[in-house]
Amino acid sequence: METFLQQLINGLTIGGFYAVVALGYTMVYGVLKLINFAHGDMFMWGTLAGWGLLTTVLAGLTDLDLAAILAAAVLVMAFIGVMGMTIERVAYRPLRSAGRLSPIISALGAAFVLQSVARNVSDARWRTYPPGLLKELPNLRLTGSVSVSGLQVLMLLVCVAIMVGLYLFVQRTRIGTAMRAVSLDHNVSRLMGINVDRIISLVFMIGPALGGLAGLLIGIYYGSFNFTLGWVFGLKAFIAAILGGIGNIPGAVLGGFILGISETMVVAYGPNVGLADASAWKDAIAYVLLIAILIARPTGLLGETVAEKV
Amino acid sequence: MSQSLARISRPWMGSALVLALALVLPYLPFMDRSRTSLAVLAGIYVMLGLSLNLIVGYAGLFQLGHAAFFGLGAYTAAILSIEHNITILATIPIAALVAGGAAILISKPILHLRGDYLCIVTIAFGEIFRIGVTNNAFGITGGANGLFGAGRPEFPLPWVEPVPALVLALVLLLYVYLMRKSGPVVRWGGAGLIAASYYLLPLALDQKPLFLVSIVMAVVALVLVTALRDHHVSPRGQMIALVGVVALFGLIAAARSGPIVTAIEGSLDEYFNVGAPTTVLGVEVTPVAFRRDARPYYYLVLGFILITLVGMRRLQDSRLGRAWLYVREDQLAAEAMGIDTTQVKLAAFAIGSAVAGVAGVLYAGRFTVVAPESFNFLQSVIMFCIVVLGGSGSIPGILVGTLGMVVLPELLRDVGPNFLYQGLNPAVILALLLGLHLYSARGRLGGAALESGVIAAAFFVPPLVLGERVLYVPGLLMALAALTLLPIVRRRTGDVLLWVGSAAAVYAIVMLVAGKSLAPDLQRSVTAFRIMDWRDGLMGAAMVVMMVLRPAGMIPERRRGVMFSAVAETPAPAEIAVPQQATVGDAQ
Repeated sequence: METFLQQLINGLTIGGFYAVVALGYTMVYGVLKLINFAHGDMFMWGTLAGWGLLTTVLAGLTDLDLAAILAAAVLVMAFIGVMGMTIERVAYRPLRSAGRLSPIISALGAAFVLQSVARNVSDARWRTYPPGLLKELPNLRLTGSVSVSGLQVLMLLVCVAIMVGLYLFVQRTRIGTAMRAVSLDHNVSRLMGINVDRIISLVFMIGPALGGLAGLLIGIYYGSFNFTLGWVFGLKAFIAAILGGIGNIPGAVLGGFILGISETMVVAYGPNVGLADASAWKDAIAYVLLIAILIARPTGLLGETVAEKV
Repeated sequence: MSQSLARISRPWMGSALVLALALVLPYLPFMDRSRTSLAVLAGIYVMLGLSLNLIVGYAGLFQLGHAAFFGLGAYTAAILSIEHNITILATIPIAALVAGGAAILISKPILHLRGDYLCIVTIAFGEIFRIGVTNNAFGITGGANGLFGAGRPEFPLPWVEPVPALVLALVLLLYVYLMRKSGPVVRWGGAGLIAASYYLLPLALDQKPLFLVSIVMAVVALVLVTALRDHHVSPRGQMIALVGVVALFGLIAAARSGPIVTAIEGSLDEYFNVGAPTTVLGVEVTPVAFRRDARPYYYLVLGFILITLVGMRRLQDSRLGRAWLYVREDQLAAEAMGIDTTQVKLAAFAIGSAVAGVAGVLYAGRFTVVAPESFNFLQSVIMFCIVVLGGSGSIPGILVGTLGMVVLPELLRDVGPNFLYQGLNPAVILALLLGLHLYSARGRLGGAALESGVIAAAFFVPPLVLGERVLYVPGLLMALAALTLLPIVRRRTGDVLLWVGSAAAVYAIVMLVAGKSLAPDLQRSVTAFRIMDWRDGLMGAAMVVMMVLRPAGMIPERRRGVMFSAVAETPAPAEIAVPQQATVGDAQ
């Protein structure tokens, strides 16, 4: 029971990261019906930019962890947000009416470029964050031997805050309403006086900015990363978005948590049920889960059945 | 008659030219050992492109996990060859069955999914395959290192019975089947003519190796007659062509039998290992094995490509091929016409994957090492790009896509960092860039030419004045930036030339002033630049640029749907009322 609780908390933390990255996928898919393959690599760029800032500029400016991290978070979000808008402008907007195959190639190309630049910037090596960041946060003792590190609690809180904030933004504000309108129908939105291009740009700023923030957090949480982080993590986050029903913000959150928890659980309990090298198969879990869900519920857990437009 | 000849002649010329080039390629002067090997790899990718084209181009389905089926074929061949000592060409049917069967099992439950979901599920299957073989699933895949020592392909010595008889039987069966709608003279008379001359050549001259000539003759006759039939040449024309082929081969063989036999036996010794005769299924055959030399293997792959191509063309024109077209263009309409869309899509997946499995066998036979990283997601993306960049559904597009995605990156490996400023290279690259600019500026050629002239001046003046060739490198960057920014500047201001001129002047002056002191540093960083580090990034940038410039691909397929709309645009007055015209063309 105690291991279970401990693993549940670990799974929730990872799931929170998946969920935040999945939000970016789901928003973009909502407005453009496009799998933004570059999103995972923008997330990795968040980790990379955060590492760059925390080890060079900000390390010299302040010795306060929290101040440095806050400054890094703001800068990383701005940087990745602009990156997302640029990619949309350069690689996706010219292809908006070009069928379904071309944007996929273009998105993959953008992802390759981001990954290649990151590879050369980081010299293709594992990079480590400054040690001891936020480590003095107090541990929370739940029961006798189950404890939650302060870092985990903080991460979880930040992730939940992002999700709630985004949900309220999309549901309650004028711009959020415009986003929902654009995701339903571009032309009708245009007739209603919505500047569709600007809304799409905004989506491509918010989604990657949040992804970049998640990248920074995961860098702090794990402590080390390399340039291949983005692809696998991004793919899994996308799967999380599909699990919950793509285009649906609560769905992305639900999918992220389900994926995070099932991964940690399989790795933890796999050896007990005869799967000796469960951790080697960890990455396959997401894919198996995806296929199972899609066979059972083709539109995801919270997705509504939408007739394909003819 | 003359009109139909004109209609067929143009597409034929292109294909014939490419085929001729492909046939002589390994013996061209610039083909060294490694490039021939690269040609073999490119051939395997052409086959993969053809197979994926069936799924993506014809049937319009997403498949971003094609490498898994390629890998299934390769692993099947390697396992059967290593563990069970089966000669690798004999594993082709098994590998095709395994890959095609796996495709059916996997895609059956997911085919009803919408496009993007299908895309992500195929990625998922590809990743599961990779993770599976890396973790040594079932203990037979050799883990992360893969499998070593798959055998090189062997085939029976072609002029020892029963091989010639078997080949003849196969050719005749095909001939009689394909010509089943022709009259008895062409059908049975032609078959008899082929059979008679097939045995006449080697037996009359008493030279067994001449069976090889006979085999070539039979295949050429088969292909030629069926092609003429497909292009509506009269039966008499078909018979004349058949007699011509037979007579031509007979004359050549009779006149030069000695040199031909020496050549055949000589190249057998040079390129192949002749083994000791063994007994297979109660028949004695002499195995002949490929050696390391890539040239014979190239022709093997080429043969498989040609067979695949012919199969694809015939499929495309079949009932199933038309069904794919309808499903791609409008699934609902296809369903309404009574097409079982699930079965049709399943067929595309199964056939495409089976061909990929065959390509996997060829891969295993050539490289003898089968390892997980050859079948990862990047490979799937490369295959997908081969199909889409060239133009989805278009066969010439696959050739172009393979050149761009497989051959070019490998050739770049040999390119040193100073390639950019050696000899005439900078001038050639600049000419290409400016040519592209002029091409896209049709209509205001004068202005574009002036802009190009200014850029060229700023490009050439600093290196030539200072005598530092390395200054061409920033010059190229300047030209690229100028050509990218030009359209944006033009949208903002009317006076483009002034802007371009002043920017180029500033660049040239800065370079003239600082160039001398900059050059050594520049030289050092250019020399330190390793293109392999940036290969993926360059490939990605090329993918984005290509798609933005030509969303339909380099050589888009001539859409057959367009024929309908072409009819609908200029209809005869009486035909306007015919309701059937609202078909595929309108639905687009």
